[in-house]
Amino acid sequence: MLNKPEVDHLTTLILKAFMFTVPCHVETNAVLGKCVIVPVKGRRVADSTVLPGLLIETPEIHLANPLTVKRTCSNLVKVALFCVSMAGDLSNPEEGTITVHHGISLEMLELNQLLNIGKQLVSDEVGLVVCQKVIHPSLKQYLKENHVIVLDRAGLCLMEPLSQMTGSKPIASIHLLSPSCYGSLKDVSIESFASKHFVHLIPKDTVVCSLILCNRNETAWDELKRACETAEHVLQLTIKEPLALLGGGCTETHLASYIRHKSCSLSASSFKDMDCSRTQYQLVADGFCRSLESVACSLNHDGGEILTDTVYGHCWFVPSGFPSVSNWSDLVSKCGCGINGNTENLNWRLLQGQFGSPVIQGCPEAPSVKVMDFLTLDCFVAKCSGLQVALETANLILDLSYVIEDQN
Amino acid sequence: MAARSELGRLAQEAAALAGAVRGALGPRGGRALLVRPTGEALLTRDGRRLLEALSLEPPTARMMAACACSHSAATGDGAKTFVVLLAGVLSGLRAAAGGGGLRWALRAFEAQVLERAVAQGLRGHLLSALPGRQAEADGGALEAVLEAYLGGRLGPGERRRLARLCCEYCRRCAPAAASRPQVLRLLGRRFAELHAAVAGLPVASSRVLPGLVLRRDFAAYCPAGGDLRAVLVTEPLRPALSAPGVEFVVDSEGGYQASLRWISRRTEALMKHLQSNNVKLLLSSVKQEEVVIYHAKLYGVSVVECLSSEEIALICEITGLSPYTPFGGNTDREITEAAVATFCQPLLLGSKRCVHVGFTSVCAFQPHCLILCGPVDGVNEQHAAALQGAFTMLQQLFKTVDQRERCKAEGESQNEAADVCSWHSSATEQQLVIENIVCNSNQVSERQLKMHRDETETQIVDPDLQRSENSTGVQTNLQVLSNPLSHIKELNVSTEGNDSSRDVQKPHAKCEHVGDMHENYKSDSLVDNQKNYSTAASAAQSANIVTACERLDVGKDLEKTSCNIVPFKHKKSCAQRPIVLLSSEKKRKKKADQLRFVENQVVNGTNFLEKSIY
Repeated sequence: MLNKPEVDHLTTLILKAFMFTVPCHVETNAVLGKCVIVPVKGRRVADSTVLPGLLIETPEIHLANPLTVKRTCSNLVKVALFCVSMAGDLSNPEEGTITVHHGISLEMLELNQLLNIGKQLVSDEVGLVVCQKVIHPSLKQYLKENHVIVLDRAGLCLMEPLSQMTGSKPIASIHLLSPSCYGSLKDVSIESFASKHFVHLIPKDTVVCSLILCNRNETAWDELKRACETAEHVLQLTIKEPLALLGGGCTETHLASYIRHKSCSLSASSFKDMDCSRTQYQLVADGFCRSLESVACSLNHDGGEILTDTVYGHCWFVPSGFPSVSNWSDLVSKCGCGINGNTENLNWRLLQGQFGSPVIQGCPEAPSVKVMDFLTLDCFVAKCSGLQVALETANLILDLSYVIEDQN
Repeated sequence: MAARSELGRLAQEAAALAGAVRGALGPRGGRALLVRPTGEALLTRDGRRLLEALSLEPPTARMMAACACSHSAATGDGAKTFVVLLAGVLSGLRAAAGGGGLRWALRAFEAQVLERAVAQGLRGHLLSALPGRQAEADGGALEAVLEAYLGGRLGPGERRRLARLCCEYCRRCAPAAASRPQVLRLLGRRFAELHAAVAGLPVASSRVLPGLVLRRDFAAYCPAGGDLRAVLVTEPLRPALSAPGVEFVVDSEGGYQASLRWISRRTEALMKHLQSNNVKLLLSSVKQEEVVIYHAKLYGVSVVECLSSEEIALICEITGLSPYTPFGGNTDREITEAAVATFCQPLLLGSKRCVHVGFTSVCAFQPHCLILCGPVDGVNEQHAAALQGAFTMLQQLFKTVDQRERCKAEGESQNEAADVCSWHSSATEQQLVIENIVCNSNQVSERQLKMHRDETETQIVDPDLQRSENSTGVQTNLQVLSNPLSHIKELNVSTEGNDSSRDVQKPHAKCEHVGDMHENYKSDSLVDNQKNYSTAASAAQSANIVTACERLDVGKDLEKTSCNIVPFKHKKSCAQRPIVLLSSEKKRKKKADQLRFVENQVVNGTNFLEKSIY
């Protein structure tokens, strides 16, 4: 588990990474970039960091540090991106037979073509060549002699972020090279973490960033990665719909008390519309409120009491180990989300759970908006959608009238 | 005696089937959860899906289920009712301690009491489903009909919402009310490609989107504004060095290099040609090479590849597009086989990226797509099946209108016309649609029937016999014959024996009617499921039968089930010997033959439903 400083550090990093993916200049359609998570297992969580651009791992330390990169006249690094194999193997997609006469070596032909490509790349002042698959050693050597940085075995996952970041179109043919498919980068450098070495590609406009995530424990690392991805997703949802709910169980209890209040005051015509009786409606509403409250109760793991106040309808947790007293205000300090303190007398009562009797409730008020630090918030879209889907699934199960087991 | 114990067994099987579907019957019924040993679960209230999903062992039970399914496939409704009714009839017959008299009594009951009661007695109690001018069935009436239909298939919360959605969808796909029947036919056939399902979202998120949603992602996406031209290809665009059966000989280094370079340049030239013709979207049914995608990106052409054949067929139907063959002829000519699309963009459905493209339609159908959302996949499947059934059912409603008008226009005698038309209207539920049958018969009863057939009777058998078998195409074939006859018989029948005389008198008048009906309807009307006439037809009608056979292309379906030898023979036989009108003695003899035939079936263990009652 993470301690507080680690949580704070990661929070800052995730936010930073997310801000990197938001484009600065938008012409027509704003598209969020991508955050690539780079695993480094064996370091402390506090060593994690965020870098703009992409990191491509290089096994060899053959590249000198600092790198000398060939630049064009506008001080940019030209990038060529290849998505076909440049290993000189004749990966022919042909279906028929190819007969080769004696004395002709197709591999030599292929290699010659590759070297021709190399010459063209050098003459086009390309500074960096990245290939999704393998590059032939001769070609690699040739390009290195001409001061072109070569990275191969980049893999399929990096192709899309690379082309998005550099503006280059992945080249699919070694026979026809069109100069319009090159891209550009601002800088290329070398980074090292733990025992891994990366080539760091820095673009002009950051839309792609890399989050280097460290954790001592390998299995815990997977969970940490999942948590970071979920956090990014929640941030994206919040950009789409900029609303947040109060967390810590407070929204659930508030909603429950509001529904209880409202369900007592519905008119008869609305029951006719819904085709049910008042009692039926109140039974269902009561059941729903109890289920919301049970969600709030599940947040409590240390066995203490859970209270709700009748003024704001928020959720208050009492630490365990205290005898039950009648004056709750001595034991509670802040509600679940943190927006309400115990300064006023809020008329607390125990949150009942499944077996209490229905409660008559006045309308809960909205807390006065104070700018507070450390409010616990929940994602609106996720929670709303979750509630709706849960209700529909419950409806689905209730609608099941019988089960047929087919044993044939 | 053997027949009686058979009857008991059959009644039991039918009762078991009825028990399986009874819980889902009607608006107050609930969903069934069908669990297979493999662990698959099916959530449904639809009788047809339930029956198709059950793996039944006894062949008679399979046949019962197949009958119900094929009936439901044709009408869009009524599978559960069918099965429950069947179980009731069989148990009643068993209780009546049936003997020889039972089969005759049943037939007489059908001929004399039931048909007349349904045709005339019910007529007074029927209301029009779509009141007002039929051609402009307004949204409110349509929604009410849909809500009633979906009430038997969905839970109370969902039916109103889905009815509203379906109504809106119909309205947007066919803004002109006159084109609605035609559009409904297309919807019924192509609904699988016209909707997309997203699991994990609430049902309220379901909506109608303009254009089509293709289930693939872009291989290359180049955003383009405004109208764009789209081209369809069915072959790889990169020229190949060699093909299966072709040998490419490399005898010089230069030659090989030149060939590869030529290939690359040719692909580039093709893309350039597309660009110069303002083609911005390439739809491919096969996977294209990387080189093609690369050049497409360079020249600003978006590419969607690996489209399924159904999607291609739908696009061709909507746009009238034919595939573009770049290497067929002169590559420098104008590209005329292009369709116009108003927009083309990626669409995120749940976690899948799809292509959302809006084609301009050349037919009456305005392409719209339905996005169905639900908590789990099972719910989406259920909704989709319900909507598909709704379209089939709606087709019936609109069909009635056409026939009624056409009947009146034909200027038949008032009585007959009225009876014929009323017959149709009362039997709205029972009309068969050929397109549906031909499309659906493959799926519907295939699974149920695995009977082996070794009988080779060449008699022209009852519609019931045919119906109990797989090919509903045959059914409709024969209904052509039985249709006009039933009317004739219905009008003045007292005993079966008299039929023949009446037939002899009236064949010509009815012939034209049949012929006309043939021309006018693409489908034939099955008037009554339970009719058991030996299909006596006049000689003049045999010609129609032949044309019916050929036109319906029955043979296609029949190959699949070895049982349907009869239709084949029927086809051949009607060419060889004209079918003559049978007198009553011949009919009785025919029935005796049928009996023997049946007894053979019983012994062989492959029973036909109706026969085995005897």
